[in-house]
Parts: sequence; structure tokens; C-alpha cells
Amino acid sequence: MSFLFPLYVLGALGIAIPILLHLRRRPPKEHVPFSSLMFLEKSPERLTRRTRVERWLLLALRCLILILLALMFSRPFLKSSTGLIGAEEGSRIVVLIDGSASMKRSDLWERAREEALNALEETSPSDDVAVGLFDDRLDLLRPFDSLASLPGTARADALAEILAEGIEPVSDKSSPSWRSTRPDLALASAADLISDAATEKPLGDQRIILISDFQEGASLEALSSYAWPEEIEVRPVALDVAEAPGNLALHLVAASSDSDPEASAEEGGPSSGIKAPLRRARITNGRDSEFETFSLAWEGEEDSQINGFLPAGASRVIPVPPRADETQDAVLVVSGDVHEFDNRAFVARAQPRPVSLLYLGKDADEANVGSPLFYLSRAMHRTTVIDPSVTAMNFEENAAAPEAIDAAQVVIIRTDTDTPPELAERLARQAATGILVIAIIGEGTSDSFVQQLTGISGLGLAEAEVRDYAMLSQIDFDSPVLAPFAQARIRDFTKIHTWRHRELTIPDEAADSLRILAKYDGEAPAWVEVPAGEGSGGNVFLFLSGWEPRESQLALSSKFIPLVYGLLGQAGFSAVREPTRYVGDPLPLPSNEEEISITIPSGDQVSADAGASEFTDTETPGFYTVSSTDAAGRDQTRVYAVNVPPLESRIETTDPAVTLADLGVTLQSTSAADSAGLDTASLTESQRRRIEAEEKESNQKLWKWLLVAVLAVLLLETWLAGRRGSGATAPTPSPAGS
Amino acid sequence: MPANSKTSLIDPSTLMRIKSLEMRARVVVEGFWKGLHKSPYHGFSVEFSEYRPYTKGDDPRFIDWKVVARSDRVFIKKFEDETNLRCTMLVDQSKSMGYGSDEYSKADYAATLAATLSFFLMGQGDAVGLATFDEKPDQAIPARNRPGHLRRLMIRLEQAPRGSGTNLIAPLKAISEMIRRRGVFVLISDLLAPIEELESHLSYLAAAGHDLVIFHTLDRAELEFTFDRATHFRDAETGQDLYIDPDAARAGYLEKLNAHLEALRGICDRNRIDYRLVPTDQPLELSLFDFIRNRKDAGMLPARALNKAG
Repeated sequence: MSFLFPLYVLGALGIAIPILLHLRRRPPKEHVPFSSLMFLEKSPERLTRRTRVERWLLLALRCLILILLALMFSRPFLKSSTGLIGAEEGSRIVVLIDGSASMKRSDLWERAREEALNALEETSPSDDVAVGLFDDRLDLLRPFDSLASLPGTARADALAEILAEGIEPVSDKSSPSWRSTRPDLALASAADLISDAATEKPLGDQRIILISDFQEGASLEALSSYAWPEEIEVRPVALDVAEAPGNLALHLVAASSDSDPEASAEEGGPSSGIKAPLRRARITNGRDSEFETFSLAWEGEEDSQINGFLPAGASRVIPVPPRADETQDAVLVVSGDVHEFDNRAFVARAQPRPVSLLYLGKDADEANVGSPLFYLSRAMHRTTVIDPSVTAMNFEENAAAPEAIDAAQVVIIRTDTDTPPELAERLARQAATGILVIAIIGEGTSDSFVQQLTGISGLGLAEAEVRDYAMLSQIDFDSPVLAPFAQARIRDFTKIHTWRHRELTIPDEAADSLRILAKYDGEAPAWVEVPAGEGSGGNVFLFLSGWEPRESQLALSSKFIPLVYGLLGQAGFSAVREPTRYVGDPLPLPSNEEEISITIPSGDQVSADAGASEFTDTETPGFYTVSSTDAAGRDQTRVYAVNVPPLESRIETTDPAVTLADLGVTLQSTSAADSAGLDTASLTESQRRRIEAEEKESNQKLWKWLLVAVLAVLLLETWLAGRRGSGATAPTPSPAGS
Repeated sequence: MPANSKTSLIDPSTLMRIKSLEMRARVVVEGFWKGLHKSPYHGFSVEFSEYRPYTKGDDPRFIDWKVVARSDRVFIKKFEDETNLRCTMLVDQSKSMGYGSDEYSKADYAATLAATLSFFLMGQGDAVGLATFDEKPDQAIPARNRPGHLRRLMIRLEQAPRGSGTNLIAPLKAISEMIRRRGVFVLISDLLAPIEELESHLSYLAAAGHDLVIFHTLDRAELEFTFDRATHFRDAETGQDLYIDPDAARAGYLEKLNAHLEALRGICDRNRIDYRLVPTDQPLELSLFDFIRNRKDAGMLPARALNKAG
């Protein structure tokens, strides 16, 4: 038996008061009148035996009340972890350890481990304990049943084993992961875990011990929509870094393609033609940072280093020095702070995907301003993402080399009266294999050509009669091709005037098999998309008017290039830059290819599961090389850069008591939570013991039983005193002889 | 009165149940007479008292000329009025007199005793006056014997004790100054006062030529201290509380009380004061009888009363 407030035991000395009061010869209250006291002398008071016994009993009861009260206020608790009360109903405890990237700082991980072991040692065998490690997901290291009925120390040993060695199939747990922190998800899962288990048997305390650095970058959003069960208490254990505060965070922001193509072509070095993007990096200095200078350089290219000044709390987007060679993977390094984990940004080499376009038409001459090819070839140029090559043929040349159609990935055909009809069937066959066929229907194209190309019989073509000009209307922005134009600022197509176009008559029964993306103001279809066949990605795209100035203003408008790239994207050759990938993000794997192997940053080779479309095991930042062999037997290699999640860099600590309470999480009550929220490393041994004592006391709540005992004794005392007062009232003394 | 005839006497507690003081007195006195005489009213003479030879200076009005004619001697015929006893009752009505262990208090007893004596004395033509007192004297009722006077006395006697302390000094002094005519003073009191003061003032009264009869009324509880339970005793006069264990205090109390009584007797003997200790459970007839016998011994009562008593 120990006491939380031992000084209150001194209150038991208060029993001296009733003892003194009892010892004071309290004279009987009644008075006997007598004529005169002149012959009498005061007698020493004596108590009768009967009253004495009853009074002593009362005295004992009253002293007992005082002693019990003093004990109650001193908040006793039993030292052993298996308390009298705790033995009957165990607590259900989930220990959550933060394993995110920010825990890689200094000795945070070691201390988190120790805290977890301490928390486990304090548990009693009747408690149900689970241990989870979380970053942006919760990894339950030990579910409830695996640690059941073990003493605290055995549990701690079991956990230490896991944390030290790491067990399969869970990956290495001896260090934190590189992922971002989502304590909200972890807390919600843990709360669900407790709640689910609680339905099996009623339990006493339900508690989550959250060991984390409580960095600002930790996301708590999910908790705001989660109805926190009130009976589950969270005890935050905050870890703080003793080292110099502050952190420089480096993150690449979207590169722009604004640089001069000519210049970049020269600078690009050996692989000229790749347009070097102008890269920018956001560098953020922590609020409580103690340093203000940084330097930024590509790893291995220190002569291009940029030095800068950044006050604490500031954030700057600065242009990154150009790379010597875009074809190599590179690492951008910022230096100047103490925390290394987020100082490297990985940039993969430029890997433009080759796309071969085939232009078929009567006027296959790039220099002819009146040919659609003139505009198409100017719209296509090599970027870091896509490497288009346009081949132009007129019908005669194509007839001489028909295999060119098979090699092309996108076919653009300008039809007219001279278009060989057999070409329609061939293109339709090609489209069915997934190739995009863009047909610009020129004047004089026969009905049958269109019918064969689209596979829809009943389509009819006629030259439209246009007064002045026709405008595009009823644009279908739901289509993936036109979706980029959906924004209000750029959705205006009315400035594109059309002077000549064809009218496509669509029979009612075929209305479902094609999709009209835009119409002229005369209700005639302008752009029509015809899915070539079920299950295949390719399709046929019909422009019912040429885009060269002789027929319309489309090629001269600002909509033209996005439209063409949108069509390429539809064909599977997206010009959109690869998104920045962070740890945990999946990497796309090439479809319909076999033998995919991935080289992870550590250098090991991992083979992807057959049929998998994504590689999800991106656990460390760095370069992932996806190698595969395509159907044609060519080796395909693609490098992806995976970076540290930017939120992890925000390492300023928050007060968990505030942030969690704001989200409705029940924090462990009383001072125990406050003291637990302190930096436990700075606690002295006596403070630590004090906190333990408070926890035990609040678990056992022996004072409640003392209160019950006080009330019981008080009742007894009242009854006894009442009995004595009423039953034993002495009759008025009278002379015995009268 | 023979001691063995006590059973025929009226028990005071029975007597006290009679509400009217006058009736109480009448019951006692008539019972007393019945015990003494066959007919108390028979042969009662109001006028004549005695003859004595004429001496110079006597009022010739009182010469009994018939005797002169018959015997040629001059006798003065003394009338009743002249020789009548002038008796003044001094009744203590202090708070201590309010004490009584039985249903009645000492004051009740004292009043009854005074009423009995008054009734008796007035019944035989003596003049009776009354002075009640506590710590200071009330207005005294002078000794008279006329119709209605008895009632006046009774009314005064029926007043409850109200004074606080027994201060005999001032009342006795005032009364002795007030009543110059010599007579009998009957002091009915519990005399619970310091003995030194009592001596000086009782002797003062005696020295003034008054006959002084003291009926010392004390309750049986006071005489024997018959309490058995230790408790607080409250002084009736001073209101003072004192914790008393009777077992322990009894011996000392009795010793002091007896010393007090002894001293009182000594004072009375020295001053020729007739002293009677009257416990309140003693039948009133005995006091009356004692009083009469005492008067006879002192030769103070008229002969006829003695004749009657004899």
C-alpha cells in the first residue's frame, strides 16, 4: 500500500480532536435544582461504567472515520501492478508507435522503443495489449491475442524482439519507415480494434498509448470525421529532439517547359533534342530554426551549387541549377541543417516515350501551309515525357509501303475523293488492335469509306452549306479528350470559325455506337469519336472539317495543341509529366509485358507479381528501375524517382493534448496525461515514479472504497449515538428516599 | 401530643392537595381542636380577660364597679383586646423556599403553617399580622383581628416565592423597626444563610423585646441529602451550577448542615428564641401543638387557650 499524497495521512492526527473532546469531562446536561449549595462542594466528575463503554465505542468509530478520511485523501494504491481491483477487469491497451520518416531523426526511434517497452512493462496479465507501428498505415505488430495473459515484462521482451530484429513477412522493423505520418488513421483503426474486441467481453479501461514525435506534418484530418468513442482514452507520449531545432525541407515543384527549345537543345548535350525543363525547388526553413543559410546542388556537381539565405519559418521557391545531363538520374541535395532524412530530392532521368505518327493524305508535305500536316508536325516535339516522330505519306507512297501503317501508333488520315477505299478497311482493322485513327473527312469523301472505317452502316456524308461560318457548340467536356477544356477560362470554342465542313447523317439505330464530342451550330456533328471495338483501347476519331485555314481556324487556335495531345493521351501516350512519387506511392507497371523486374534503391532486384499493374513496395526514397521485355522482345527500362513525403519535413512539434482534444479524442484524464505529455526523457526518476503512481492510483481508485467505508461507519456511528441519546436518557434525578 | 398518635395526624402531602390555603388551615386547626376538645367553640369568652387590682394611673373607665359595690375593692376589669397576643408571621418567600422534593415546596409548607397558625390565633381572637420577605421585606400587614383580615393574610401567603436570595438581615431589621409594639414574631424560613449574619439579626430581634419563634422548615432531601445520581445541582437562588456526586458529597454536606443547625440552636438558646426544626413532611398539627405548648410555657398565651388545651 502506497500513497499518492502521503502528507494527507497526517490528517489522521485529527483523531486527537475527538479523543480530547471525549476525554474532556463533559458534564451531564441536565440540572437538578437545589435550594442552596452552601453546604456542598464540587465533586470530581466520574463517568458511569455504562456511558463510558458506549462513549469509547463512539470514540473509536469517530476516530475510524477520521482515519479513513485521511487515507482517502492520501489516495492509496497498491504497489503491485496486479491491483485488487485491476485483477478483476483488465484494461485494453493499444500501444501505437510512430514509425514515420521523421522518427529517423537523432535518437527518437530508440526512445520510442523504450517508451513502448515501458508501457508494456506496466501492463498486468489481465490487460489485453496490442502493439502497432504506424506511418501512413497501421501495422499491427502484436494483436491482442498474441500477448494475452503475459506479465508486462514478458510482453516487453516479446516486443523488443520484434523491434530489434524485424520479422517476416513484415519488413524490417528495426528502424522507422520513410513514409508519412497518419496518426489519425492509426488512432481510428486502433479505436475500432478496441471497440470490436470490447463486444466480446466487457472491459475496464480502454486506452491507446500513442508514442510519437507529434510533428506538425502529421495528418489528423481523418479524425475530424471520425466519431471518437468516448470510453477510449488516448495517452500521448511525446518525444522531443534535444538537438538543434529546425529543418530544411527540399521539394521539387512542378517543372515548367517554358525554357527555350533551341537553347535546351544545345545544352542538352549528347542527347540533344530533349527539352530540359526549368526546375524549381521549394526550400522551407523550420519555424524554430537556428540557421538561416542553405546550399543547394546536384549530387556530384558541386560547382553548380547555389547558396542562399532563408530566415526561420520562411519558404522559397528557387530555380534549380541546370543539370549537366538530363539523361542521368540525379539527386538534388540541400545542406545546412542537422536532420538529413529529407535533404535529398531524387530526379529520374529524362525518359521520353517514342510515339510514331503516320500522316496519310494527298498533300503530305510539311512545308505546305495548306496541309494539316504542316500544323501537326509543328505541334509535335520532343519533351522529357514524349518523343513523337511524324511520318508523312501520300496515298501512292502508302500503297507502295503498306507496312508503314502497322508500325505506326497513331494514324492521321486526310480523306477526299481520291482516297483508296480499301484503306478504310485496313485502318478499321488497325484501329481494332488499339491504334488511334484520326480521320479528317475532306470534301468528296464517300459514304462507304466512313461506313467501313467506323463499322457503322447507314452513315451518310454531304457537303454542308455554310453561311458565313459555323461555330462549334455543345462541346462534350465529359470526354477524356476534351476534359482539359472544361475549365471556365478556356472552354470558349466560339472563336474557332469553320467555313467548310461535311454533314454526317447518323441513323437512329447507330446513335449509341458513336459519341459526338462537338457539333456545329447547325446541329451537324463536328467531332465524332467511334470506339473501334469492345475491349480495345483504340478508336476512330472523325473531324468533319479540316483544321487547316482553308476550312477552319482550328489549327490556328490555342485549342489545337492541347487537343492533339489529348488525342495522343487517348491513344496511351500521355504528355503529362510523371507525377512526383513519394514513398508508398505505387509505381505503374507496363501492362501486357512479362518478366518484369524492379531494381529497388538498395540495389536488390524484385520481380513483380504476374498480372500486377502496380508496384506498391516503394518503401525507401530513391530510384526504382522497372525493367521488362515487351511483346516484340525489346527491353524496356523505366526509372521512377521516389521521394520522402513533403509533410514529414514539418517537424515542429505540436501539443498533442491540444490538437487531439480539438478533434474530439478523449485524452487520458487528470494530471497523468499532462505529465505523460511532458518530455519523458527529461523526467527525473522520482517524477517518473510519481507518474506511475498516479496512473496506478487512478486505475485502482481505492479511495472510492474508502469513501464507502466512511459512509458505512458514519451510519453506524449515527445509529449508535441516536440509540444512546434516546434509549439511555437518564430520568431526572430525584431523592431516593422521598 | 403523644408521639404514638402520629398516625391520626394529617399527612402534609395529603393536606397539600387541598388547593385553598384557608381550607388547609381550617382542616388542620379544626382537627387539632377536635383532638384537644370535645367542643372547641363551647364557653368561648370574647370580652373578659381578667381582673387585677387597680393601681394608680389606671383608666377609671375599666374599674368594675359591680365588684366595687360587692366587695368594696377596686378591680380593673381587663378586656380581651388589651391582653390579646399580637403575633406577626414572618414568612420567607425566597427562591430557596421554592425547593421541594415532594409535590409541594417548602414555601407551600411554610404558607400552610403560617395560615394554620393565623387561623388558630385569629380563631381565638389574637391579632395576626404578616410580613413576607425575600431579600427585601414586602409591605407588612399589621396585626389585626377583624373580619376579612384572615382572607387578606391568606391572599398574601398564596403568592409564590419570587425573591432570589435569603437575606434575613434587611427584612428582619426593617420589620422590627416597623412593628414597634411588642409581640410574638413567628419566623418561618429555611434559614439558609451564613450563620454569623443570622446570629446578629436574630439577637437584634430578640433584644427588641419581641418574642421570637422560629420554625425552621427544611425539606427531607435537604436534611438527609437523599440523592443518588451524580449530576449538576443548581442553586435555586444564585443559579450557580455545581457538579455533585451525592455519594461523595453526602457526608460533608450532612456535617456542615448539622453544624449549621447546631449553631442555630446555640443562637436561639442564647437569645431565648423558641426554635423548631420543621421538616416539611412533618404533620402541621405537631408544629401547631409545639407552638401552643411553647406559648403556654412562656406564659404568653391567655389562660383560656391553655385551659382549652389542658
